[in-house]
Amino acid sequence: MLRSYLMFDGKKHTHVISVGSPAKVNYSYDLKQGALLQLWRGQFLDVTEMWKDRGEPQLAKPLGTVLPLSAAPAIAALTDQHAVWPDSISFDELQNKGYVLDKSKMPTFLYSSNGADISDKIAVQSSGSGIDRTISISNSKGPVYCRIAAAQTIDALKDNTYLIGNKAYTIKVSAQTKAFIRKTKNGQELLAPLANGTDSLTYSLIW
Amino acid sequence: MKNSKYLLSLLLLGAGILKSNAQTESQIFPITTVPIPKEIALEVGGMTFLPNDELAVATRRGEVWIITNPYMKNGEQPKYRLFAHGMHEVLGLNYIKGDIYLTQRAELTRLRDLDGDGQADEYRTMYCWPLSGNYHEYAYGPMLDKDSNMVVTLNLGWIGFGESMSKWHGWMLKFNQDFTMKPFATGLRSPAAFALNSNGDIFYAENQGDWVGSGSITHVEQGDFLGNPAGLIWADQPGSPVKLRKKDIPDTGEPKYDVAKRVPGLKSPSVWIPHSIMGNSTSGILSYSDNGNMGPFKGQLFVGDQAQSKISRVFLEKVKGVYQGMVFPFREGFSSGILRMNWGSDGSMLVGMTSRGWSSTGKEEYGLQRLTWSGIMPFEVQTVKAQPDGFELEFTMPVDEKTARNAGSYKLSTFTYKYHHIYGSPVINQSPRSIKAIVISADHKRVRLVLDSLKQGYIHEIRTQGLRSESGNIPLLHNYGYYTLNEIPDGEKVVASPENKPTGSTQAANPAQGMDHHHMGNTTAGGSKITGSTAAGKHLTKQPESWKNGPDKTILLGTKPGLKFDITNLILKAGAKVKLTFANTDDMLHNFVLTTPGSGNAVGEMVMKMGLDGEKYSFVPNSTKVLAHTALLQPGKSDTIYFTVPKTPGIYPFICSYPGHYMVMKGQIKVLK
Repeated sequence: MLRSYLMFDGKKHTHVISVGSPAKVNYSYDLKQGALLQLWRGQFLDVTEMWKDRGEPQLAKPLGTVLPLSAAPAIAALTDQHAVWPDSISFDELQNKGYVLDKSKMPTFLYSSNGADISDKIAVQSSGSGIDRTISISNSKGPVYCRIAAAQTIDALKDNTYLIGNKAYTIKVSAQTKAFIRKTKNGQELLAPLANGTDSLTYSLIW
Repeated sequence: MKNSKYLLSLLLLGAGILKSNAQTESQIFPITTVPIPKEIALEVGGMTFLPNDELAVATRRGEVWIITNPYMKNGEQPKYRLFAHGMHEVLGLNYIKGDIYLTQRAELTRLRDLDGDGQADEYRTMYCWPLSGNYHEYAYGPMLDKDSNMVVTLNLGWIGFGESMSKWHGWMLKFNQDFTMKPFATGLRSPAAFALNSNGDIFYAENQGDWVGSGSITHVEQGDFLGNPAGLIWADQPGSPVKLRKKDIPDTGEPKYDVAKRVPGLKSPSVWIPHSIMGNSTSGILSYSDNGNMGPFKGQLFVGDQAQSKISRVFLEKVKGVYQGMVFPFREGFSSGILRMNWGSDGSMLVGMTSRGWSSTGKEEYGLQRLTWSGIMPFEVQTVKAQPDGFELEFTMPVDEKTARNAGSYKLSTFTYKYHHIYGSPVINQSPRSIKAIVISADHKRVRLVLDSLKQGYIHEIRTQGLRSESGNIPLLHNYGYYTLNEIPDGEKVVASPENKPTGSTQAANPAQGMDHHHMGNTTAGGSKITGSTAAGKHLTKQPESWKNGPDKTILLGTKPGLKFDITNLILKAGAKVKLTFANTDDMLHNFVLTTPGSGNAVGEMVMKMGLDGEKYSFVPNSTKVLAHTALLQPGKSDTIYFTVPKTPGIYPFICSYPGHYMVMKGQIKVLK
């Protein structure tokens, strides 16, 4: 686990935490967007640019080939299910509450945005095949959506499974999740609604 | 380090310079090193004691270690356990009302161990602030103020100058018990430390830089603007109590005190800590409360210095409602760069250190040491209080009347610094003061010096080299200090009379040559003052006319972060004509000084003895060991010089001779036939 500055998609992100695991599956997470930025396998991070001399760039670098995901927030309130997904949440619209570690030292991130309290648990599968992500909301005042994936193409397979991008990875959502694919200017998105009040959804990302 | 000091002591004894009755810092205030396991990089960013007397230490690598028995009681080694990790450069740690709080780059964090397994499992964000992604955006604190608010400071970013690129950098912030943030004051540049004095007033430590002529400590009150205008960019934001705007701040190079007189809201330091003499980078502040046991200085402040690995002592008094006072040397010789100091339960001082990226006199990359008081009464100037016509010095033990009466025992002068956007400042407006009368108290513990004049707003250097104690005839442990005279008290002035007429005359201070000797505590030879180089031939900035065919070799030398030249090994032909451009791309002042073989350290050490006027001579000593040099360069500036490579083959070191830098910022030229 390490907080750092991190380059993602050509931009320096400042409120990032990266998490490693015994299964050697690692990920980076932008705390100010609730965004799962990237996954990679193997060694954790090169911290030379943080811990050598003054550490001027303060950049942590993944020691592996990353699977880039998205810097956009995972949760957004849309006026309707056709509204464009926001690129980002402004600094003051997301309040970080920190994170708690479970018995296996994996964090659940806590924040509030759009008036709702959100917890985001990302657990590395012990097999090392991918991660399981559970997003829970409470106290939400209106309907919000979770964007599970965005890519050029998304193909729905059977068993609530989706093939993302050019077979870059697969997503499997739980049976009760009302996930849907929608077209966007740049491709397709896999979204799921979260009900008013209290709700949660779980999906697995395998690659 | 230890061995060389021992050797030096022997040499001094041999030369009969060191009198056997002289006190030493190490005899009175011994330092013990707290061992750190090899696998732990304890780059101390924050320290706090827990209720069970364990010491919690936060590191620049984002860890929190808990150390049991840092005192090594019963001869047992301290035990370390990791409590938390993975945070972003933690530079402040504090146990407040039952919880551990810290600041990392992005936020104020609370740590809790929910399941009782001895490790934190809740990292709670109490307040989060924006960052631009600059490495220099540090955060410090929290500290509890007297009204139970938490206080945090945010550093300016560095982009060739200090800049507030994201909200509230350059500010002191307060958080109430609901963690609602209130901006409190701005004008901060690099506010690495702050503490409450015995009255519960906040003092913060500032580091030399742009708009900051020298390190200092300053009393911070709501709405203050403390000097660096970068943070003013947020002064119009909701909640800001600061009335000044960037356009209100003149950049004239006048003394800050004078500018503050006509720019209400700008505050001048409570106590200047003269740069390169008393320190290079003011860091931790520790109030000498009842928790400490460090000799007869209760109520004073101890102020650490990262670059010079030492601790100063500050006596504060309030005159006409304004804090001012005197900074004295206290203890040098720590193992690394001091950042944090805390009182242990036994009254000893735990000193936490890191020097990575900023060289320090203590050579270790990091360290933890413990300072104790042996119980031996040091012969020191305990306090210096401003008088309507001079100063009253109070001593820890009675002074010998004969030496106290002699004006030749003292030397006083006044000076100040420029307030401008340029990095640092030379010493300016320096002039000697003379003593008109000396009044000695009946118990011989107080001496009032009546001067020809006082200079309001100026730093008064007070040297007391000739004084001896009444009992044992011993010299002072430290015989100089600097009083910042913000206000002159009202009251009765001393009328000159035969009773208070000094014997002898005040030591002449020649402003052209600046101050004389600067004893670096007890460990440096007391000897001669080193003057600055005036040899123009060593700093040729135009190509010599005799170089008909131009230079044989052109060298572009730059800097790397962390006090490094970007080239450290050069091979040149004997007698070659060289054009060298040194570009300073770092965020500190640097120069290039080429020395004779084996003289890099010697030249670096000479600079430490140049005193207040070192900067005037670009920190280049007048010595045959110096072969060529550039000017002292501001960040972002460069200087081109011309020199001829010596005819004798060998290894010629080059250094940055800025005080303290030579130990790490160095390279060598191999001269071949």
